[in-house]
Amino acid sequence: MNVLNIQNLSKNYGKVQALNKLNLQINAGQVYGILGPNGSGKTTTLAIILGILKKTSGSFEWFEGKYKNPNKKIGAILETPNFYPYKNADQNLEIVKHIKGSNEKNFDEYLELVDLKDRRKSDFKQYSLGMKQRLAIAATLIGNPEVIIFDEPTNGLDPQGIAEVRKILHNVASSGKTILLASHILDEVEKICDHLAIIKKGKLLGAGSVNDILSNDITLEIGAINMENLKHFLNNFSGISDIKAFNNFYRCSLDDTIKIEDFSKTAFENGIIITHLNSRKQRLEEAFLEITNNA
Amino acid sequence: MATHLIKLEFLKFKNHKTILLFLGMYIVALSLPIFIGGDSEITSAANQYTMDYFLGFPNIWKWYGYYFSWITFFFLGFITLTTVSSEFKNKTLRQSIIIGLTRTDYFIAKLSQSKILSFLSIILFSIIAIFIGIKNSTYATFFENLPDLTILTKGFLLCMAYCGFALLVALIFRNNSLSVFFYVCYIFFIESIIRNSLNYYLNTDILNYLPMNVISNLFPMPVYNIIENTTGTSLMSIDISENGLLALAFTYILVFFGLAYLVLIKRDI
Repeated sequence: MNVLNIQNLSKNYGKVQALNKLNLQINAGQVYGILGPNGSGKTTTLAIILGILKKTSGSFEWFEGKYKNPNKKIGAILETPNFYPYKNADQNLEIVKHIKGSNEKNFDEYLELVDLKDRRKSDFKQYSLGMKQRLAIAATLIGNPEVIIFDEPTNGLDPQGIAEVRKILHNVASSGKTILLASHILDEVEKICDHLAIIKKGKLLGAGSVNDILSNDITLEIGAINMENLKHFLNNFSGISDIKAFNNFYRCSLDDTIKIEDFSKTAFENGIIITHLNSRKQRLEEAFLEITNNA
Repeated sequence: MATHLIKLEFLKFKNHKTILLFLGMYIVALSLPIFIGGDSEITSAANQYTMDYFLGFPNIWKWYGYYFSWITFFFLGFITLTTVSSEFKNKTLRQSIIIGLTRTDYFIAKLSQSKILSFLSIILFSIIAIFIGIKNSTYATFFENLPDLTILTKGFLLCMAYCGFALLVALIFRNNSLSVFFYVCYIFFIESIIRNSLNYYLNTDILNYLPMNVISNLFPMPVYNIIENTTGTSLMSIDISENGLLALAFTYILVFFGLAYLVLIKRDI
């Protein structure tokens, strides 16, 4: 089922165009990342599809129009965890439950998942930022939503908080629910998502499965006794591209049809004595920089 | 639906210390006149008005109504302003909408909150006025002095008008301090300045029908009646029948709530 269909969505703030004809389709069960630098339009997109901001033009549809009030089928954290500061975890979750119209008898399961069971009776204002974020994650699960949206879920957290929240996100993501994760942290998206969209300055630069976005080419890091000869060799080797020089090695892309051992053998036959060789698949960071820099 | 939304408002604010404090102060302030009264005489031009005259039946409705209108302006207004602006401050309105509360739901919740507060205020108003009236009237009996429907309607409209105006102001300004500042300034200064200056320059009295002047005339200062009775001169700033006044007040309430709904629907949150 198509969970979210965004067509030509635009948002202007006066002369500033925050979103420019964005198109996006998300299917049930996908763990979908929206990736983009700060100010790229990620939160604006989420705020529009959640009914907080008014769109300037375009359209979007949740669940193929199946529900009158689709937001009740969505759990979401947008930017910051927002709760009544003078209420404790149980009281705040009770309000969420009341709005959702769900029928949980208690919130033990959710509070256990986010490790807040012991602090459930403390007022929200007494929580650390990490605890607030964890409570927000617990709130997203109330009413068994079909889609869960996380917007920069690790923003402002210390390393321990980031690790805790990521662990919870992994658990939620493995539950089979559709998840939409907006982040500028590439590592976060790469580890959790199976699909992603890259946006910059409100424009969609690329979308698809993570494997589609990442190039099949091999990234090589290679060093030799004679770096000048190596450079000459790389420039003339068919199947090597995108050569970048570092302190004591070159980084380049190797066509995925060429085997490493063949490359290495040819180098040796050309008098290149390799002192350092590291091969790996392209990282999301590299793909992201490639896509955004070319835009 | 409305019951569900009223329960939601209750869940949200039952622990809110500022709102509970305002509610407590409102009840205490409304009850304070119970403790005044006695045998003392008030000096007046005609030297004929004793405390019993003001606090006994039927004048208690006018005197206590005037007092009620001021107390309501402050406390019901502040309660409404606080319930709305605190939701903007804590971003809880934003979160409520994200998880499924519609903007229309929120409006209905606030309208219902205003109706309930107004209804409870009128009950309190009636009970206290009757109590003071009985205490200060030698001949009074309870059933002879129940408030008539016009007084209750006026009181209800007054409460709804202040709640509606406060809701509109809070939805426009969102910030609590700014909202309170504008709410008080508009009623005390801004409308008076507009009314008096434009009436003077345009040589008309049409601006006397601006909203807060109409609302405050639901319970005008009772001393006007005494002077009018004594001198035969009308001191009321608006010349309109009782039913006309009620209709105009009702229209302004519709305008306040209607504009509040429009602001809520049209603006980003």
